[in-house]
Amino acid sequence: MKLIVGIDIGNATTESTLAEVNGRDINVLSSGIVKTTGIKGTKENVKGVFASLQKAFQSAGRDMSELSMVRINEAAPVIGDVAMETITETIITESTMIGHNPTTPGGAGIGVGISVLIENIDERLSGEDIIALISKDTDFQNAAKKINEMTARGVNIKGAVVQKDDAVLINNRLNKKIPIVDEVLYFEKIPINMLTALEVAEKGKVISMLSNPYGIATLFKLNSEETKMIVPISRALIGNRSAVVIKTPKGDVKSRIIPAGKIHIAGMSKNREIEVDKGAEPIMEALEICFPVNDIWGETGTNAGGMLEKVRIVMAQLTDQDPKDIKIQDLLAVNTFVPKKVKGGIAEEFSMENAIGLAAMVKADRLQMERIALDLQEKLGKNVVVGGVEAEMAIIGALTTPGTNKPLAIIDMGAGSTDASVITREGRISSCHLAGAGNMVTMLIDKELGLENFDLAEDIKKYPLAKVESLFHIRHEDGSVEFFEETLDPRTFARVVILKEGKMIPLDIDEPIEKIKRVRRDAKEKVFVVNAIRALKKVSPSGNIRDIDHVVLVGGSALDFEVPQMVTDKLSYYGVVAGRGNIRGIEGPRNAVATGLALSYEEG
Amino acid sequence: MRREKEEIGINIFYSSKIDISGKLSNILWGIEEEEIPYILIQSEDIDAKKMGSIASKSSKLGVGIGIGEKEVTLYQEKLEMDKPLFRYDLDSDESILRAVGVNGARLIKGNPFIIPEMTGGK
Repeated sequence: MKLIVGIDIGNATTESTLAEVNGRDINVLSSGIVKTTGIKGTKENVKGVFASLQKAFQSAGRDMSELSMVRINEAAPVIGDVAMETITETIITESTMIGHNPTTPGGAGIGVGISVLIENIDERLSGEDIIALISKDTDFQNAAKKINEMTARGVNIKGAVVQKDDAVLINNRLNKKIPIVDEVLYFEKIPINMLTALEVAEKGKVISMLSNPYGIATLFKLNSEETKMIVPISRALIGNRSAVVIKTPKGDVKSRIIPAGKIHIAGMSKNREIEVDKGAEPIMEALEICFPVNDIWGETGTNAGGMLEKVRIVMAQLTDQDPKDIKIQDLLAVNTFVPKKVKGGIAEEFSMENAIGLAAMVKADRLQMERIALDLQEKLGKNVVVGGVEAEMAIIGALTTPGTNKPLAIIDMGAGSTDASVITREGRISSCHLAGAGNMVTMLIDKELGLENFDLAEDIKKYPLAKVESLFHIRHEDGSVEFFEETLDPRTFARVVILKEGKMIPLDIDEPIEKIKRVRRDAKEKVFVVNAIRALKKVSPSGNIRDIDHVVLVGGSALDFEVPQMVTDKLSYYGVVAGRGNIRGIEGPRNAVATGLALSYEEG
Repeated sequence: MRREKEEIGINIFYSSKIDISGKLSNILWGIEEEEIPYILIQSEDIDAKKMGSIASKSSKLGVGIGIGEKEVTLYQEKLEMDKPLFRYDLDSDESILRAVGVNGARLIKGNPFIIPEMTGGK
């Protein structure tokens, strides 16, 4: 009888399986899991291996001196990276519009007149139609007083634009009510002495005049040519509760396409060159045409090109190779919409722009696992060998999930790449690696919600949402309500929160919970479900997904609270049994490779 | 445009020893900008916590503000007296006083609060 251990050094975790061997009988005793130390495939890994071993021995109640052999995985390093190219943008020249939603605008209706700073309004303007501009230096009481005075002297003040959050306060003090737009951040950019139209909708309604090209044409007496020009303005104002449009001689709102460069795909037999701004579909089609892919590169100076080069260099450093010899073998392109601040905007307006998310993957053939094995052997004083191929080991491990059988495929959804392998009825094994996994989902969530915060996006990806509806209760994203005895943190009140490990993290975004949930689920769908299908097509011996009976999901992203169900649901259309793995009936989707390494031990 | 006689509103109990027509008006303006009515009630008390707590329990909207000798408090009716939702010194910045009013109204409207500690009153 002797003790052996299988160790799987992964990108994120180092897992081990401790087993007792009696002749041909291999009996698993325990397992251990710790964070991987250093980048997978480097000497820094040894520390993590040690910690993982200790955990396994501890939980089995055995002593490390009894250990007779360590088997580590032979891993081909796979790394991925992600990038985003925005391909449209909206630019306001000469500040012709303000379109935002202050929480409390004043009054309601439409006002048209010449824009004049409140301090410059006097009797000489009597008889004129005026829009008053009130900066943060004028307090609301003085502003209201001045408007009342001037109105009494015959100046037709038709509306007001206010820098501070004072619209209701001003309006409440006016003898004659006017529409008022407030909270205009870049007040000093508003052109003065220009014809200005202002609209505030009643509560619960949205503006109808300024969001209609003919509405603007009516107010500004435009001809048909000029009306064509203002279409982007009215389009940008749709859905707002208040808006201001200013007629300036050269003012314009433009929507333009940003050149995002080309991506070159070199296949074994075919090559393709695709313009990134054409969207994700042509890229994915070209990728299929060029299969199998030799290398992919982009244009320098573009986000896509830069990202592809970065992946190449990181891998070159990792494996001690020339970057020229590193080939990028897969790409995942996804269409998305991202909120971007409108260039030249006055009130921090955002517009939804088209963008394309890209993930790349490189794979090197060799890694210094032999070196790590030697290092480990020295430190442990035990026999350390590099076991079988990672894909095979993962399958042997996955087959310990109750209810599975050959032909079986595993999909390992990690952070950087999605890996798949299949074992046929006859026991033949093949595998593939695809670009796009957990990190891409995080990037899509980050960009689509305009967070600019990767860690927060990661939390949104991993944990469910709730809305804090009172100081004492929340409504979960599924509609159920939970009450609390203690007052909830005022910072979370009326906000959407992430429920992370018993804590509530408030989100500072003005979007309904349904929208955030949809962004999260769409991102997972676009990456994991699409990649599950892509991967299975590649590894299936016939190229047909239906020929695989069982699909077991393993790896970190298989622990996600909704990804496995999404994949199960999608694959059921192909008549495939798919689900989260449960290694040896107890480990869940973890420990597949380490288990495979231990179980595949043969004496001799 | 004070609506002192309306029955429904945020109840504001203020100490008769202080002048609320000066800087403290910011509290009232914060509520007004959010379009929620309020009721001003003078009190002989000086303890902002006690006044705010009683104010919230007597308010039909369940929200009360107490303006004592030294501090201002905001309460929701279910909160215990020693745990006001917000509490600030009376000599705080105008923007903070205004935030107290705004937050009282937002508590009723179900809109997120202004947290002056995080945003500087914006």
